[in-house]
Amino acid sequence: MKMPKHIYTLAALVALAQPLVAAMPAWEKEAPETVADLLAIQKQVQKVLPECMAATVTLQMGGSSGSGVIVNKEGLVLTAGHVSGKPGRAVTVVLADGRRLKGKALGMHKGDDSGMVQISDPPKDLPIVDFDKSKEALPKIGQWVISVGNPGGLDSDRGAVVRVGRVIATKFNTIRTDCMLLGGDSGGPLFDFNGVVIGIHSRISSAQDQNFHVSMPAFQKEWKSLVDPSSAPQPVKPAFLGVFTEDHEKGALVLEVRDDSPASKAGIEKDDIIQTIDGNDVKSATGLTDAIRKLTPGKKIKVTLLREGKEKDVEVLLSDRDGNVPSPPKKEDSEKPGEEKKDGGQD
Amino acid sequence: MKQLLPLIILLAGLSPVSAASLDRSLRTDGKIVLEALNDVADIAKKCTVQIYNGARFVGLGTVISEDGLIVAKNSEYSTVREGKVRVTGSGLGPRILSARVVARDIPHDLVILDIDRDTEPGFEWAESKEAAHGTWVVAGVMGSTRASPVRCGVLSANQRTIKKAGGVIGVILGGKDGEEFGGVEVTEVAKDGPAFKAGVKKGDVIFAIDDEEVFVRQKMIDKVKSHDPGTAIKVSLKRGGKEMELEITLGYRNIVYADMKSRNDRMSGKVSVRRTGFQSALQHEISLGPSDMGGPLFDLEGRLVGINIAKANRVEFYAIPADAIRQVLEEKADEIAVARGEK
Repeated sequence: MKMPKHIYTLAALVALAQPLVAAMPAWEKEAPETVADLLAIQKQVQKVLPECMAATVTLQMGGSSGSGVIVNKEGLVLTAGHVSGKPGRAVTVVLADGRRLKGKALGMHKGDDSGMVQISDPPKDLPIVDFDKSKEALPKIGQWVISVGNPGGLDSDRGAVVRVGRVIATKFNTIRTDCMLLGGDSGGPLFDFNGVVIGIHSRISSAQDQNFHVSMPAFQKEWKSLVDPSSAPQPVKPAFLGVFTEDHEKGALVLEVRDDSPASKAGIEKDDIIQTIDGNDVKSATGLTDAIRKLTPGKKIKVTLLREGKEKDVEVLLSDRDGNVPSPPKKEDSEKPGEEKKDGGQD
Repeated sequence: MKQLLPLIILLAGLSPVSAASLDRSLRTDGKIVLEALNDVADIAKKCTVQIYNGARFVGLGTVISEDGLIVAKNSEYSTVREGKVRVTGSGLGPRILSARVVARDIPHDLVILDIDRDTEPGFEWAESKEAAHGTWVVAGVMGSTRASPVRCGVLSANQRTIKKAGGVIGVILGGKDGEEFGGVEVTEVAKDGPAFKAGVKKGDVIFAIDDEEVFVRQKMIDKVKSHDPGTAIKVSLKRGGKEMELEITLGYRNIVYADMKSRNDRMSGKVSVRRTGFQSALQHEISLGPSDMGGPLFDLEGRLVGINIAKANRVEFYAIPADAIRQVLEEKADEIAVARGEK
C-alpha cells in the first residue's frame, strides 16, 4: 500500500516528537498536573535518597549540634559556618549508620554562613555525595529539591528527616525554598533531583516560607580559605594611640597616657590638647578615637598638639592594642591611608 | 495571529526563570499542585469532620466506619461533658450532629466517637507496609470554598515509637540537693503550674515522691517524668522545719513552661499539647496546625495510611498508622458495643 508522502512526514514528526515529550520529566514541568506526575517525582526522590541520607551527618561540638554532608573520600564535610564555628575546634561527626568519627572545624565565612569540617581519620567506606562545583550557576526558581537534616538534634530512632520542596528565590550566596527547616538542620544538605548537593541549610524566620540555604557558588568563592583558614586574610586590628581624653573646646584634652603606648613613646603628655591628626582637625574625644580607629597599626602619623598654649608637632608610630607594630606596610598600601582592609574578601 | 497566543502564554509559563520568586500557587502544596489531587480531595471531603466541645472548635476527626464511628485525638477531649460534643462535615450533610465518646486508646492518643447513624467513609485502607521516606502523603484539612480540603508532603522519617516526655510539676531546682542536705531545694515555682496550684513555695525542700525518698535532683526529675501528664503524685517536702505532703497533678512541659520555650518551639508556632508518647507513628512534613489533628492521611490514590495525631514542631508531624488504628478498633470492639448498648 502506498501512503501519501505527507503521511510519512507526519509519522516521522510524531516519532520524533514523542521522545521529546517523554524526555521532559514531571519535575521539570511548571507544576505536576496529575497523580502520575507526583508519582514520577516520588520515584526520582526515592531513587537518589538512600545515598543522600547516608552521606548526611550530625555534627556535635561541645553542647551544640548541627548537620553536615560528606563530599569526598578524604572526609571533607560541608556545613554552615555557624555550625562549624571557630576553626580548629573539635567536632564529633556522627554518620547515618551510627558510627562516631573524630573531626575538627576548618574555615568558615561569617557573611555567607559557609563552613567546613574535616574528618580526621576517614574510614575507607565513607559514604559521600557529589556537590555542585559551579562558580556562578544557581538553581532555577521552581526547581524541585530534597532537604535532609537533623531538626532538634540527633535522634537515632528517627534518623535524619527528609523534606521535598521547591526553590522560591535565589541570590548569589543564598537559596530560599519551601522546605521547612528547624534548629539542628543547620549545615544539612539541600539536594537537586540527581542527588547532588546544591545548598547548605543556614537560617529561617518564623514565616513558613523563609527557609534559607547557602549556595554552592558562595562555597566556591571562599573555597581556599574554608579548606585552609590560615590562608584567609587576617582581619586587621584597629590602630591604638594610648591616650584617654575628654572633649575640649580646642580639641581632645589628654587626661592620661598609657605607659609604653605609641603616645608615650612619642612624648605626648597629660594635659596636652590634641588638635589635628595628619592635618585633619580633631574636634572631640570621640572624634579622636574614630580617627585613630580608621588607621592601621604600623602607620606613622603627625599629631599637632597644644602644650601650655604652644603648638607642637609630634610623629607617632601607631601599634595595635597589644602593642604590636607590624612590619612596614608595602608601598601601595601606605598610599591609601585609613582604608580598612576587608575581612574575607566579601563581594 | 490569534492562534499563536496560547503558545506564547504556555512558553512564558514554562520558563519562570525571570520571576523574582515562585508564585504561592506553584509551591509544594500550592493551589496548582493540589489540583493534581482532586480525586483524593473528594474522598477527604467525605470523611473529614470538624468536632466541637460545646461551642469551642477543638479539631478534626475522621469517619472510620459505615455505622457512624469517628476517630480523633483523645487528649484534646479529656474534659467533655455528656451531650456537648458536636460534629459537622460536608460528608455528613448540612446538620450539626451530636456525638458520644465510646472508647479511648491512651497509647495512640485516639478517641472513638459515635454519631449513631449510617456514614460513608469513602476510602479504602492502605495495605499495612512500611512506606519509604519520600512517599507522598495527603492530609485532609478544613477546606473552604477557596481553600483545598487537602495538603500534601512526604513521609520524612522512620516509622517508630515516639517516646514519652512525661509530666512536670513546674519547679526549678537550681539550689542545694544531695544525701547530706536531705532533699532537693526549690528555687523557683512556675506561675500557675501544678506545683504553684498545690501550694509549693520557693525555698521548699522536696525529699520524697510517692513515699520514695529522693535527695538527688536528677533522681527526682526522673521519678516525676516517669508519669504521664494528668497523673496525681504525692510530694513530701520540708518548709521551715515542718514537713508536709501535697498532691500534685502533673502538667505538660510545653504548657507549664510556656514562657520558657526553647528556640525551636518559638519558631514552630502553636504545637500539639500532647506531642510525645505514641506507640507507633508515621512522620511527615505537611505543615498543619494543632487543630488539624484527628484528620485523615492518605496516599496518592486516596487510601487511608493514617490519622494525624501531633504537630511536634514546625517540621515534624506524626500520624497513627492505619494498621494500628484497625487494631485499636478491633481491640475496642466489645467496649464500643457495650457503650452503644449493643451488648
